[in-house]
Amino acid sequence: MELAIDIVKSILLSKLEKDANFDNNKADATFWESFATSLLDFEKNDALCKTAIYSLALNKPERMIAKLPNVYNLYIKELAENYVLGNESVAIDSLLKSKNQVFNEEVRFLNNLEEAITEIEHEKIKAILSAANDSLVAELNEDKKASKVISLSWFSEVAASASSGRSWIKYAAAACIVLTAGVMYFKFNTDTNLVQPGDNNVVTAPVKDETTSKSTTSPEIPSEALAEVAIVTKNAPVIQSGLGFASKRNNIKIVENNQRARMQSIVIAIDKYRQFLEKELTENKVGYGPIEKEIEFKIKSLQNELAILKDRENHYIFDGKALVLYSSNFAKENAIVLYENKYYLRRDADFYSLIIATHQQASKKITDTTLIEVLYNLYSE
Amino acid sequence: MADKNNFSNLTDQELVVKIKEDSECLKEVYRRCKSASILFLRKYSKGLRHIELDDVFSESCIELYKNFAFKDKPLESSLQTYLNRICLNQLLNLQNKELDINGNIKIKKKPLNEEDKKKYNEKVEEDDRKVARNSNYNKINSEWLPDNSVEIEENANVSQKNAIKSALQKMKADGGHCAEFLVLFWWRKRSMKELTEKFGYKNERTTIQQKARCQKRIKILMQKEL
Repeated sequence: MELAIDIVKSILLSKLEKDANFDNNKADATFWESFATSLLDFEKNDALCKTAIYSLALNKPERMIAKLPNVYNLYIKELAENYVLGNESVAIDSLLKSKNQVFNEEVRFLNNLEEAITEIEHEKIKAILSAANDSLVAELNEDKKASKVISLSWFSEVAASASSGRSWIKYAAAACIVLTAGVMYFKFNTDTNLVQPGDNNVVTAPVKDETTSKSTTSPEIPSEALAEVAIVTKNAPVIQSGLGFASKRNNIKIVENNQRARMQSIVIAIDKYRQFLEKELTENKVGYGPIEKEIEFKIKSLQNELAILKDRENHYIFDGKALVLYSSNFAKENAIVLYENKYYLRRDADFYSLIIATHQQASKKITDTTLIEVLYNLYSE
Repeated sequence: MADKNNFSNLTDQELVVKIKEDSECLKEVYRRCKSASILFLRKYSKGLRHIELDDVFSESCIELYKNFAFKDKPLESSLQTYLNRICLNQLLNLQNKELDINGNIKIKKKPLNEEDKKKYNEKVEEDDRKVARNSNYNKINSEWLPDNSVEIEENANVSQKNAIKSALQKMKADGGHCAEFLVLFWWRKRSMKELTEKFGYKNERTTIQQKARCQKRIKILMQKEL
């Protein structure tokens, strides 16, 4: 009962001390233990508590008795808080056993308060980690660009040093050229026309055209495999301010088009076709005219498609019911927030404004910190 | 704000000190440890997708933050080793597995004590009774509909939690220390003494009263949201 006695004392003692006749000696350990026990059952039987107050021979005992319902309420709520915080007491066991309603409701409220705060704080940390991920990805992309520049400058240095008389470099460079030629020969004499995995996720190689094996002089046009635009469709909840009412949740269909793989494969294919034009066709003149035209046509159509993909990169189309996104990555989480009749997309840690229109719009990240906070809080509801 | 330029030169120990002050510094933990932790997790996580490992890593970072910022635990190894250990524990919990004394992974088996055995037997008996009742269901009437009181209670808790979140947001918008106070008390587990110092209250008694006032206020705001 130690915890319960401490709580009762902290609530009651200051009130008792205001009475002119209060004698601290009368409120001994027995008094407090008895009062703390009786107060647990105050709702059903208040007589014991009243008797205990009268035993103190106060100047105005009725005034103190009038305060007892409030004292009881504070006492039970303090015990409930201690229970939620993991403290143990005989008084708590007694309240649990008797299924005290005030106690149970307070425990439920405090548990939910703790969980709500924990969830909000966890979301904040996850947003920090998500932001760290974004900046790391951005840095890696920059590093990749930088490494390309470095490798080019390295090659220039090697070439320069080779011409300045370091003889071993010449042999190394020659070895590289021989290796590259070997790889190229292997590549263009092997069937690269792989069919990409479709819905059944099986990679299959098409049946080899018999005519190609018979032809020894006419070069085969390389058929470069292109990756598809990866599409993911999900329903995202619309989170809107209830303006004093509970938040309402609807759904908006979000279609995410991840163009990255497609764009990369187009760039690689264009590069390969160009190499083919430069290498193969200058060495093997047979069929040069029609094949060159066909390859140039392929390059042109790929360039057109690439331009379209680049054009719609980081754009969206939103009609109020469905949102189509074009990007180079999939978001872990998308949600729509409706605030002051404006839609916002929460994409991982960032918010973007959404405009309802029939044609594509550029994605605009929200930078206004006040608005971000409001949206974040709405989102966290 | 945690920034690469500010924190990349810090030692692990120095970074831990910064994490205690500002959760934004977890960005540097992420930068330093993410890829190695995911590689480490892969050894123990056959069948888990990358996104699930990401979740394990995020939860582990939260745990790491709590250990340093709230529980004041010391860092006695490298940050990477420390985080990997948390990641492994999180993963094993997720898979309901544990390490045996030789460091091999095995399915967790919770030993039953006498009370658990009694509860288990009662549960089995109750299940048997339910099966018996359901077999007679069509013959009698609908009074044996499944008990949905647990679900109702869970829904009520979700509603209350959402209302509390809205109330906290309003409390924050209205200004004052209450929202911060409640976060410090219920999330960071700050003691009354620490809160008294932090907010400059007269004494701990005043701080207790302030907490009671804040909790009363959030309850009123919550009830308006329900």
